[in-house]
Amino acid sequence: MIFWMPSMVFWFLAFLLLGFAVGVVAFRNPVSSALSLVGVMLALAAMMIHAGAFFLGAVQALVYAGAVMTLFIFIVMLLNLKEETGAHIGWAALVGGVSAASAFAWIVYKSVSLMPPLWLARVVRGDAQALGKRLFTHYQLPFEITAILLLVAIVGVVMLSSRLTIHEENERKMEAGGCSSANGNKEGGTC
Amino acid sequence: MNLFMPIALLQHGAMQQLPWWKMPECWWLTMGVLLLLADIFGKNISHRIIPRISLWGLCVAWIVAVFAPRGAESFFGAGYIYDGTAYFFKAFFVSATLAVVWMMLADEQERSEGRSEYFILPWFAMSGMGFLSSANDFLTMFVSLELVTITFYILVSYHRVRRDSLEAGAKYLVLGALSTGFMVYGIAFVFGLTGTLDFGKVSIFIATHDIQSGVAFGILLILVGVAFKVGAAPFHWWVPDVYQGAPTPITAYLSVASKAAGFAILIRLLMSPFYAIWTQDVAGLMVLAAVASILIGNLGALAQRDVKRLMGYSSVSHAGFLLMGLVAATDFGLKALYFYLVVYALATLLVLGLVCVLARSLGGTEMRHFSGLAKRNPYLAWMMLIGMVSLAGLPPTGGFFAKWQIFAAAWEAGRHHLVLFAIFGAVVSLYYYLAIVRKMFFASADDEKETVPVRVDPVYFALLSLLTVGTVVTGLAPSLVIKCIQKLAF
Repeated sequence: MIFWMPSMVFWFLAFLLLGFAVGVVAFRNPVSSALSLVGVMLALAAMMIHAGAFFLGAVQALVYAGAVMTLFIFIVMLLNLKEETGAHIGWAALVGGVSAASAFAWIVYKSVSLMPPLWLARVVRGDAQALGKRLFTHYQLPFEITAILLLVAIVGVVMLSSRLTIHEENERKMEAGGCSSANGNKEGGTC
Repeated sequence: MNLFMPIALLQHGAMQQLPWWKMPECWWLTMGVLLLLADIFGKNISHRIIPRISLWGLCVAWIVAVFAPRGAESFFGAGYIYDGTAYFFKAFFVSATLAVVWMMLADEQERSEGRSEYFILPWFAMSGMGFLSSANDFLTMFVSLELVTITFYILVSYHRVRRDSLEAGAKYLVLGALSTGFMVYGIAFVFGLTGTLDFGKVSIFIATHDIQSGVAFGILLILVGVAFKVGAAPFHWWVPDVYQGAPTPITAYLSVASKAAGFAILIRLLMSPFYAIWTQDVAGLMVLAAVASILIGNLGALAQRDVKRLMGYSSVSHAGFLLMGLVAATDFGLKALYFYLVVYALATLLVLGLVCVLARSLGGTEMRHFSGLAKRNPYLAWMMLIGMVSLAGLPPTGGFFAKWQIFAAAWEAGRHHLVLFAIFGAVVSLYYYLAIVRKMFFASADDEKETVPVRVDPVYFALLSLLTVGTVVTGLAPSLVIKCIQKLAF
């Protein structure tokens, strides 16, 4: 086992990451939220590189900060979302949330402080070759299951977004007729 | 054989390596992909024949899963093991999927026009659950769990033009993603401390290093994820809404197979990586979750008017009863858990199958719709009676023996308070289970016109009869069923 003390860089990145994460939730404007999420992804990538997982860090930056988040921002702008109206947070929710969060923090603190000084069991070599070797030998089965998982996700998206069948069209009309007040109501009315 | 001999059993190379064609999931996935291809290329006839092929394929898969030769084997560097537990759960999942697709076939005849995916996706869910029951490292476990869950997100929102189905799908997706986040965090914690994902190696590492407090935190987070999947309190908030909104066969699938999949993970985790600290730290958490589930499930069900929603709360309480079997962490407790799962599956499939077939002719799934059913179709009313009696745990059915055994296991483990709570919960549950029976037999239909007899498709009637016979047999000859389970699982 290797003893590992967090460096200044780690703390800097950690606070950066947490700050951006708070931003994702706190910003009212969806574009600001999405951009904060980019910040989270990039800080996480930097953290991975700092920990020696170069390949993962690069992939994180390319795939998440690059591709996924660009798509996110595109869609947010395409949908032209308005500023979120602040959710009403009641006393019960506030007390519950704060106590749950502090209980969680307490458990983390307890379990970490009882451990020997911060340590990682083993540092894995983080380049593409080592990762690929692991992935295609020892972890081949989960890798293959992931392929099936993606197939199912694609089938699901196609199934849920394909054109309505005649039967469904009728059913939709019946549903709309059953609660006429909510018919075509985009404000999210319920019936 | 004592199942709780964690380390010796799971050493690398101790078991025979398995060729790929011996993994049933490979065949199930092949079938699923072939059906998808048939759906693409056979446009005009596919929606007629694919549901049937799917059902017959499941019959074959069932025969293979139940009668396949046994022996502990491993595959993919011991990432996949094929032992008694895996055998039992695979047979269980195939049986549940068979019943569910049968149910779908009866429910969705006209709706399935051009929507054959509904009948194909259960193959993928089943494969995921099969992998899950054989998973021997955290990565395989997590990926196969996601395969199951994502398939369920799709199936739950299948009635996409209906508001409640979409709402159920969205709710399940958001809360499911959150619980998955907790689980991954826990797995990362365990991996960070032990440096390995392999169950056997994790158990060795925990036994030989003083890292229990850290690992306990990881386990806590993993248990949050699993408790969500099995619908145990306090992570049960999604259950009533999703059960009510989902198509009825999917409600049955969720409450039987998805719940059993969660217990398959728990049993795997208990058997190997976390055995060392199970009895001291984790069992206490289990007791808390069990008590909370039993109380919340049973008391919450009292106020319900919709039978599907009621079954949701009832399934929360049954998650609590099932957790009692794990608290003991003995072979006896495990056997009781398996028996309870079988009995619960039969009764739940029966009740939800009846709800599914009756929803159309009765005009809804609310309790008042069932008024006077005994006059309109006495067979169905009696079947419902048997299912409800079994869920409530009354003597002539399997439910009684299942509850009795699981209570005995918890009592033996010294959890007397837990048993007292469970008995209280079981007594409360009598009220709402028998409320439906009262409606069916002693209340008259509110509308005089609605006294025409209810007819059922004979194919569907056959399924319901099979489930009824199963429920009665588990009650009249429990030792026979337990012997079968023992042969499969131990």
